[in-house]
Amino acid sequence: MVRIEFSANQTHLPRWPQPRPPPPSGQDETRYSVDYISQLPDTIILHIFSFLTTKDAIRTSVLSKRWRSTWTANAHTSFFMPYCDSRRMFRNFMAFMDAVLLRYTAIKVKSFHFDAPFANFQELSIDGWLQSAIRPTIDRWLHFAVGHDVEEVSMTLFEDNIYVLPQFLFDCTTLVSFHLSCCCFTMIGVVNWYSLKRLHIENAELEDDAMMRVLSGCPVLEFFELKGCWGLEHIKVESRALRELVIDSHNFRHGQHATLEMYTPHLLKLHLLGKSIGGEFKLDEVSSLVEAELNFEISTFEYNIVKTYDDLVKGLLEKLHHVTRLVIGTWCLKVLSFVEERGMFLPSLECQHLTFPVATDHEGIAGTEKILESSPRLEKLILQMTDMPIFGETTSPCNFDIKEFWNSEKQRIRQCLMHLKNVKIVDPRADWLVWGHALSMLKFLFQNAPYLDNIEINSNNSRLFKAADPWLLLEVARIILSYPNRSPSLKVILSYPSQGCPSKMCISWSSN
Amino acid sequence: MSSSSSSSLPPCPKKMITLKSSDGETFQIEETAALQSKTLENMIDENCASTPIPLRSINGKILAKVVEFCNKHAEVGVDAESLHAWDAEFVNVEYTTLFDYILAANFLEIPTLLDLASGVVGDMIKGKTPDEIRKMFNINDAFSPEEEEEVRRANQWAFE
Repeated sequence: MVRIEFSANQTHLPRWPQPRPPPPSGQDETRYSVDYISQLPDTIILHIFSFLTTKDAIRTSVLSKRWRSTWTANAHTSFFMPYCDSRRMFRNFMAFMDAVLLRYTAIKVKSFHFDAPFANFQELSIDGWLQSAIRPTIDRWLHFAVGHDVEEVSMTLFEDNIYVLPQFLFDCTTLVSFHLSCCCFTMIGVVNWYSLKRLHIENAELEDDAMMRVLSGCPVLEFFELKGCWGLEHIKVESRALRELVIDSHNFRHGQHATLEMYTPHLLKLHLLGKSIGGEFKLDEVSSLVEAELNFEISTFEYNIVKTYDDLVKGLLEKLHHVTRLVIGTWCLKVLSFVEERGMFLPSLECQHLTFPVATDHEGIAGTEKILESSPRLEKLILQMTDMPIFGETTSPCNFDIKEFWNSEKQRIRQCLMHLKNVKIVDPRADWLVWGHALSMLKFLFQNAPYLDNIEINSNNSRLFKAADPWLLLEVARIILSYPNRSPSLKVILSYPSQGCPSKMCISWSSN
Repeated sequence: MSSSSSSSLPPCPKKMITLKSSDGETFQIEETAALQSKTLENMIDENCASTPIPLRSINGKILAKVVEFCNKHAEVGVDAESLHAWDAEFVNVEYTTLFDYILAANFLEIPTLLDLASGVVGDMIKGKTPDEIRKMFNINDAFSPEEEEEVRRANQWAFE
C-alpha cells in the first residue's frame, strides 16, 4: 500500500512557520494574542503584497524587524501618482519611484503599474519641461520592468501627447498583458510581443498601419480592447488566437461618414460598447463569431436617427445572424423600433441566448417584437431591467397599453418560442413601472412558449434589495405564478441579497 | 456496475478521493473538484490518491471549508455573479481563519482560494497606518522609536 504524507521534500513544499501556534480549539484568547501574520512564510506575505500598492507594501517596513525588508522582494510594482500641480511635487514623486525601484531585490518583476491620471498640465508643460522630464524617467522605469522580465504592464497618463512608447518596449517578449491609457503609439520598428495575450489601449491616436504592425507582432493575442481611441479605420486580425474584441466609445474624429471596419475571421466574441458621435461600424468578415454584444450608442446632430442608422443596425444584424448569443442594447432597440414602423424585416437570427433591456417607457417595444420574431432558435431570454427610458426625455404616447400590446395576436413570435426554456430577469434596480412591462411580456411568454419552465429573477446586484425584505420579489413571484401557463413544471427562482449575503429561493409551480 | 467489453464505455461513476486532516477526520471529495488543487492533481496523476491522503498541516475544521470551496467552484452552471457573492461570504471570517485558508491553499496549491483569501488580507492592510496594522494583527516586536524613525526616513515618501 502506498502512503503519501506531505512533509518530506522541502524543495516542493512551502516553508511552514515555526513554531506553530497551539491548536485553536477552545483557545480563542491564545489565538488572538499570537502574531499570526508575521509567522506566515515570505512567499505568502509577498503574495499578499501583490494586492497592495507599492506604497502600502513599503509602509509595512516599520511594523517590526521581520517586516523591515520583506517588501523589497515584492514581485509587483504599483504606483499611483497623487495630483501634482508643481514641478517640485512631480520631481519628488519621480525621485521616490526611482529610489524604490533601486531597492527592489526581486529577480523577476511580474507586474508594473503606473497611474498618473491627474496633474496640472498647464503648469508642468511650460517651456516643454514636462515632455523633457517625463520621457527619460518613464523610459527608465519601463527599462527596469522589461529588464525584470515583466509580464503585466499597466500605465495611465494624464495627457495623450506627453509620452511616446519606446522601441525597447515593443521588443519585450515576456509581456503577457498590456494596458495603456494616454500614450503615443507612434510606431518605430517591429513588434515582438510573442507572449502578449491581452492588449487594452485607451485614449490614444492610432493609425491603421501602426495597428497592423502591432497586431501582426502579437501572434498569441486573445483579447483586444480599444476604448476612446481615434484615427483607426480598419481592424484586421487574421490570427486564430484572437477570441475577443471590445470596441468601447470609439472616437470617430472625421465626422459623419467615418467608419471602423472589422475583418476578424476567427474572432469568437465581439462587443461594441459606449457612446460615440457620428461614424459607423462595419463588419467585413466575422463568420466565426458565437457571441456579440451591441451595447453602443451613436449620437448624431441629425434629428432623425432612424434615417441615419437603421441600415447600420440592420447591416450589423445581417453580419451577426449566425451568432448564438446576442446582446441588444438600448440604442439598437430604439433604432429597430423605427425600422419596424417603416415595415422593414430583420434577417433570421440563429441566436439561442438573447439579452435585451426592459425600460421604463414603451419606445423599444416594437424593436423587442422585431427581434423576438426573428429568433426561431431562442432557448434563453435574459431581460436586463433598466430604470432609464429608451427614449431619454421624449415622452411616450400616453394611450399606449402594454397589456393590450402583448394580448394581441402575435403569430410570428409564437412560432419562435418553440425552444424557449429559460427566462432570466436581471434587475439592478427593479421599479414597479419596469416590472409592469416585464410581467406583461412574461404572461405572453407563458401562454405561448410550451417548454418555458424556468424563470430566474436575479437581484443580487440590486441596490434596492440590499439587505432588504424581498417583498417586491415575492409579489412578482406571486403574480407570475398566477398566470396560466403551458408548462407543467414551471419553476421560479429568486436570488436576492439578504443581510448582505446572497440567498436563493425556489418556488415551484403548482397547477392547483 | 458491470464491466463491459464493448467499445462504448458505461457512464463513469463519480470518482472520489479521501483526504485526512491533521486531527484524523476524513473527507470525501470528487476527483473533478480536487483537481483545482495542483498538489492533489499531481497525486492523482501519479496514482497516489487511491488511499486516504493525509494532510498533516490542515485541521478538520479548515479542511471541511476547503472541500466546500472546491466543491462550489467545481459546480457546473454557476454564474460568475453568484459565485462572486458566495466567495465574499466564504471569506467573511475571523482573520485567523483567513490565514488558515491561505496556508491550506498555499499547501494544496489552490490559486483561486489563495488569491481570494490573500486579497482580503490585502484589503485589511490597505490605507491603514502601521499602528493600526500592528493592533489589528497583534504584531508586537516593534522597533524602538529611534529604529522606527530610521526605517521611516529610508522610505520617507511612502509615509507622507
